[in-house]
Amino acid sequence: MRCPVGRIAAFVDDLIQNRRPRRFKASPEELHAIRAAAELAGMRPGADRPDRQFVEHVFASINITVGRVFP
Amino acid sequence: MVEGALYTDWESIYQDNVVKVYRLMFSRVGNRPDAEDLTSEVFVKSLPNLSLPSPVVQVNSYINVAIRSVLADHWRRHYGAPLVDVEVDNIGQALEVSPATEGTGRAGRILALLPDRSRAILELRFLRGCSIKEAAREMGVTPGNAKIIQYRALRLAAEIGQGMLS
Repeated sequence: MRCPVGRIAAFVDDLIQNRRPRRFKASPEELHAIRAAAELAGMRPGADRPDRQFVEHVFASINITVGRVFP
Repeated sequence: MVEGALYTDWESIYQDNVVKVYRLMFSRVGNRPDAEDLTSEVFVKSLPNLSLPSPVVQVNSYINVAIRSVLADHWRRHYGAPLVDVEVDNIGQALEVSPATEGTGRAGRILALLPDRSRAILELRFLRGCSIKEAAREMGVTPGNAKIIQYRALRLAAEIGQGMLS
């Protein structure tokens, strides 16, 4: 089993590769570290811009859901 | 925003807010797959419960509540975070997030306040995308040491970030 240093290093690796990070039960110190890492991951220019296809896909899902609730 | 402005259709609500919500989610989770899932959850959860027309202020507040709830659930389910420990202090400003650019914004200010070695490892990793081995080589340390420096730097960054909130 990894220690906190190893878990956080793996978490950062995932963020840098823009992969879904592995999940683990984090200690309070680790939680602080992963939240800081998440914030820093948005610094690369363009990193936080949504994909256009994603935006369209969600809108289509909302239309279906809203249509079901208010037919 | 015009005082008393109303939203009269779902599309306007979505188009006005989707990018802001996505960017806020990205700033909290740091990766595209999770940011997409959480953004989708906010809209699919919150929009169908709104009645229209609704004041813009009310819709924004509704979306902010949904963001808080979705994020809290994410941290609890995947990392075991207690609900009280979820950072939501800035979520109220969710719809006013400014664009992230290298070296500017809150993250840039946090980096600027770090000691040299801490800043160096985080810049190598997050801005230049170096692997831990590459970052270690650049800094003249072993990969094991680089991981320790990185862990300490992130904890320090978290403390600085907390200080900015309070």
